[in-house]
Amino acid sequence: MHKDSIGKILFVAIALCAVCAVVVSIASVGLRPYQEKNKSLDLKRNVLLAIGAVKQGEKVSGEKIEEIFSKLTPRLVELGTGRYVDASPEEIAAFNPIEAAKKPETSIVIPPAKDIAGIKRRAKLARIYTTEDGRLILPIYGKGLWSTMFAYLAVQPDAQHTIDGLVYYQHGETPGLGGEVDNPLWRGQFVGKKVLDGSGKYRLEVLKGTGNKLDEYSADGMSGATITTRGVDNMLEYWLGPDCFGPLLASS
Amino acid sequence: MTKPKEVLVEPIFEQNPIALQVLGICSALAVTSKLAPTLIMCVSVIFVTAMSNASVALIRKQIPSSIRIIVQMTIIASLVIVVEQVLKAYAFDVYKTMSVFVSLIITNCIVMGRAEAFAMKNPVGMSFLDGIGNGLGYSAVLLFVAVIRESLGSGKLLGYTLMKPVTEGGWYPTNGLLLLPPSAFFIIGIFIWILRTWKKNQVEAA
Repeated sequence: MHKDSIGKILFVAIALCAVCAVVVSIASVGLRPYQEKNKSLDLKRNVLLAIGAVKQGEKVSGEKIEEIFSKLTPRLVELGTGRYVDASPEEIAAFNPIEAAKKPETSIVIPPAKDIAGIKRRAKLARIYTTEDGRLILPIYGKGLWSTMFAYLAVQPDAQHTIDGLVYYQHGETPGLGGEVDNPLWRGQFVGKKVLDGSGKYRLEVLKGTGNKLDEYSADGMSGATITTRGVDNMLEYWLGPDCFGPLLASS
Repeated sequence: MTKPKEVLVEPIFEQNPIALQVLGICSALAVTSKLAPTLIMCVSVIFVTAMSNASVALIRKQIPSSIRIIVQMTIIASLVIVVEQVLKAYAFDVYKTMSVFVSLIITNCIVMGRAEAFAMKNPVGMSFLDGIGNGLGYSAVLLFVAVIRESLGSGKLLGYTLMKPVTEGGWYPTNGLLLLPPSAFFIIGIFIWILRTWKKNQVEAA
């Protein structure tokens, strides 16, 4: 067959694709168990980062992370009422928040007027973690400029729920601008801020612009990232508000 | 006939893909603010150029010229995906800091340039060596840039403190510019300057 005939072109193209597909599939399927393990370790690491049990950039072995993480108690909580759901440890471990938020029977549609976080629907339940000394680690997420941003927020059990840490572990914001949500310096300023005011009302806010007077209820926004900052502000307000974790915060 | 040793060593200083041909600049700016990801990037690029060169050379007599570019692209893209999967499995932390730049090896002009310019005309062994050589040439520049950027930019190298920065109570005021991508331009410029002072034949006629 001539090298440039149609038959030859098709043959080379198809054969090459077949070979490449096999190589790529083997790599992907063969390495998946390791990747899954890395991913779950990474998630656990972020939870620990939120309560300050692990420092940013600190080298911690997988076993150590598993060990500290095993001291936390995972729990399923009903959003909007703050009641803990009776569930076996297996059920709690198997709970997949992203799947749950998609399925009609396990999620609710958020009325547009209340959907300040821009997530359209949310799961009825959420998996939170509690520490031995009663601190809560809450999963929150919401729209930024380009992407949905996922974070863990850790709060103390005091009346005003002082923040222990806020860690964004997944987002697709512009590097250097909105992408600074994962900058330890920026998110570090949330430590010590108070979520509720003296009367138990939601008070926390993230301020835009410069020259703002910051107090114990307000954190500084990111410069050059107005929409991402607004996203952070809104998602905190939504998730810590009466429709989600508000009742839980009031009761613990 | 060129000798294997020349094919391997020439791209490092004589025919450096970044310094002489000014290819592959984009990733040289992006990943060099720290040495650790740079090392991973270098190894990945060496692997991809060597393997894609070898594969293209292996089937070079079969590749119809009308689809040769897409054939090369497919091979390169597959190799890059394999590299990405391996990094995700064995070097997850580094993978996270440089995720998109690993995928962008596909668009690294050096890889494609060598496949088209060398591997299409030379046997497998030589093409493989050419790939390694060009990967090393790329790495030489990247490491040069990364060592300067990380040591002067943050006073550290591979996580070890060389000069204690002021922010941590030391004496060294860190140079923030070096942590920003444009600084790599200056350093590559200096690299090319040094190289062309040493090897005068690389200077283009004005």
